[in-house]
Amino acid sequence: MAASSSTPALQIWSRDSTGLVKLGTPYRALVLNFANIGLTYIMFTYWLHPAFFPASNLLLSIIVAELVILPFMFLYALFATAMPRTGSEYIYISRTLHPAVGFACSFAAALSQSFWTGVGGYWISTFVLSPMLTSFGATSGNAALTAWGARFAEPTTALIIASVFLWLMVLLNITGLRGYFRFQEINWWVGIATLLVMLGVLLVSSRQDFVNSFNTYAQSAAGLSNGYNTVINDARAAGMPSGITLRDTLGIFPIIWLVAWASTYIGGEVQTPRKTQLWGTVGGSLMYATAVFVIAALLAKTVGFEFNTAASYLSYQAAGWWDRFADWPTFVFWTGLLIRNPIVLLLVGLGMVLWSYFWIPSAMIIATRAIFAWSFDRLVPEKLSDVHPRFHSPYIAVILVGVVGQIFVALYAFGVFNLLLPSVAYMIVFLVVSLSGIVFPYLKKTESLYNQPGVNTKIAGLPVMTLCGIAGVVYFGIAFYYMLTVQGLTTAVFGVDLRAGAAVLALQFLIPLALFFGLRWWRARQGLAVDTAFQRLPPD
Amino acid sequence: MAELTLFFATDIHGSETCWRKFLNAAKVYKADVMVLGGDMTGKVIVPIYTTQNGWQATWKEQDYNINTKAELDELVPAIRGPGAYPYVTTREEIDAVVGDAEAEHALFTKLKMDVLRGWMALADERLAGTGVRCFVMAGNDDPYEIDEALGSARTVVNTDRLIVQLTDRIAMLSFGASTVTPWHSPRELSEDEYLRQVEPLVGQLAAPERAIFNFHDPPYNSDIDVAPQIDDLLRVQYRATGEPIYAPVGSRSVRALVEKYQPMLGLHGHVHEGRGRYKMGRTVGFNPGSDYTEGMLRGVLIKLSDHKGVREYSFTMG
Repeated sequence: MAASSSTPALQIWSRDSTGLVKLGTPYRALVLNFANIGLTYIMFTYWLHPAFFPASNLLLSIIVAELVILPFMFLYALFATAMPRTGSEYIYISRTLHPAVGFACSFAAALSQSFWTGVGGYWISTFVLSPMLTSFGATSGNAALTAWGARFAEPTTALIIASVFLWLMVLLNITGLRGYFRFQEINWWVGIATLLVMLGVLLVSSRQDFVNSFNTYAQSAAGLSNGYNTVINDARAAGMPSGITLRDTLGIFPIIWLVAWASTYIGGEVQTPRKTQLWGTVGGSLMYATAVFVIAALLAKTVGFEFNTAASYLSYQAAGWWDRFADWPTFVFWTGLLIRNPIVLLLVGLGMVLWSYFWIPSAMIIATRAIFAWSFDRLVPEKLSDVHPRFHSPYIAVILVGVVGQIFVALYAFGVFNLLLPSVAYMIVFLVVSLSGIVFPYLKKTESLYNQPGVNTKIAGLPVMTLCGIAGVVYFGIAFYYMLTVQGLTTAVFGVDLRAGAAVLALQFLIPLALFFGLRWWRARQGLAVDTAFQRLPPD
Repeated sequence: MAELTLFFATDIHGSETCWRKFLNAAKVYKADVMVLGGDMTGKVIVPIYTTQNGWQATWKEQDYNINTKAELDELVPAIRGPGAYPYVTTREEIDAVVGDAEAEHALFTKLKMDVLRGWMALADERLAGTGVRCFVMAGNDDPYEIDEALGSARTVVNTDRLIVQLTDRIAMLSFGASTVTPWHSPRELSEDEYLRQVEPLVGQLAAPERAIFNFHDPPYNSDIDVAPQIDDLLRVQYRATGEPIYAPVGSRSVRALVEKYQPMLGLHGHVHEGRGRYKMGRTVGFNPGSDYTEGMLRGVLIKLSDHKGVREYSFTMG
């Protein structure tokens, strides 16, 4: 039987059956996935990558990363086509490998999301509010603004800001999703406008504008004359390499976030699941990579890659050099230096705060949905899926996520954070998804799911799913390897060296595994085995 | 004290795979009572056209040019599995049917009846002598004609609008119709009419507080009735951030009945996205949701006791 793409034949849909709607159109899936990647994290691409992998070109690195991640995004689209329902990787892994592995990955991912609900607000204080105020205060000569900027970078202030943001969001989530979604829509539009303004500022400013602005700032903030050239020269003196190497080019893998997969949590009766999910995952990732690329190109034009790399390098590789400045060398900081108009700065600052805040409620929703799913599968207490009688929100789960997020951000703020490596945990989850993709076409239990049109395609006799899974293993394998071996990389973001925290990272997966098997034993004694929830029924 | 294990699934919409799984569930889950809560028939016909070289069809965004009978025999169950009706035909016949509401209804009904008769025969084959009690009913999407097919099995009871005793103390009242939807499906009632028809049935229960309300329609605003909001053209509404807008779509009458009579258990379907449970006073209610399009049978397994009501439950995805 040959599948072809000739003139499609007709299908007749019943006129009077409920539910026949176009749910999740390709465009909507694209927007959903793009919106849910978030912007706060984007700054690490222009900062940490040159800091730890200076022998590279950002533009080239972004292209390479996107090319390697695309098959992995295609794998998500194939999984979502084979299993078009809510649950995403929790379901894919549970069905392909084992429910316990699915639960462990979901647990680790939810913990990571809980971490971000707390630390997201902390980063807004240190990476958004602080540089905006400091840079404008320095260039405009307003000492009060500079002082406020410095204050927002202090751990105690940042912790207070993070806590306020976190509990405001808990409150918003508890009082109902309507308010939550309205808030997110405002964030979305303000964020888009802010991004466009920032891109506009970078576009219309010249290199000389930036050099002058930075020199003024460096003089007033640190008494550094000719700051722009000094940064470059001191970085060279500190050992910043030149040229491009494969190692440093691939070094962007653990830093950039190109996974667009929120649409795979929305399944249901999609009339064109494959097309919809392809737009969402592959298209969303491409759209995000394009945005990252455009910002990088504008940074190259206005700030200069050599300077950006030098500043980033000094901030991590030359002990104490960057301490003379209150703020980290992020693209937000660079853009702030170029804004002369206080009203524009205020609007951009507000926009950046709101846009960054988009991330926190999204993370909270993902974590609470996961808790809900575990509760339905009876892996955690039933109480956690209780819904507030008035607000119809999962208030206990939301409060739990808030408490966990608060604990994480407090540990993070006071430098004793050594419990969790969120992005690394996600890398492991994505590695497991990739492994699931590799074996999916070959397992007896997934045979009927694999043998569907649009899923079981092959290239040179090999299942496309397997090939995409291999690409995922390559991408996240490299990312994980760098996290494990590059001195200081995980410390830079998470405050702990991965090697020191490896045991704790392992516990992030081992605790839910132990919980699963413990519960299985206990509930079997009660009469309803945990496995019942995942047990497949024979289809014939 | 009598105890029983009840397995509940719903909204399988013609899925051959789900029906077969349903029949197998009793053995796998060790259930005493099986309940299928309505919407048993499918929504789409996939014409398989005869051509000079064989057959041609479109299924799941792909066109198939079929040359041999063996290939056709492979495609037909692939279409039946997730609930569509393959129909070997000619372009002329389909051209005559499409656009003619009566002809479409007649063709759908024929195909639905054929499938359901086969299902009932299979049930008799599988369940005879097992001691398992099996109850099914039509939902709002099912045309009235299918009741005849549902009544054709010896081992399956069409329980719509009936009260059945599950134990000495526990009775189950079933009602398959829904309140009005934007699709104007075959079995819909206004909220007032719904109450008018159900209240007398509830009145026949010896003890409503020990009863199971097997009502296809879920209670309004019960968190198991949340579906994407649609406009007049049946298009899902979205937020700027790409999220579909969800809204409660359950029945106010069902809610009123549950609140008034406080049955021990509510079994509901209708809203495929509404997987979950609710608590309303003493009542615990479930909607297992539906993923029939991929041949997955979502369900809920419930342990019931004469005196303690719902003792334990577990959602399943078989």
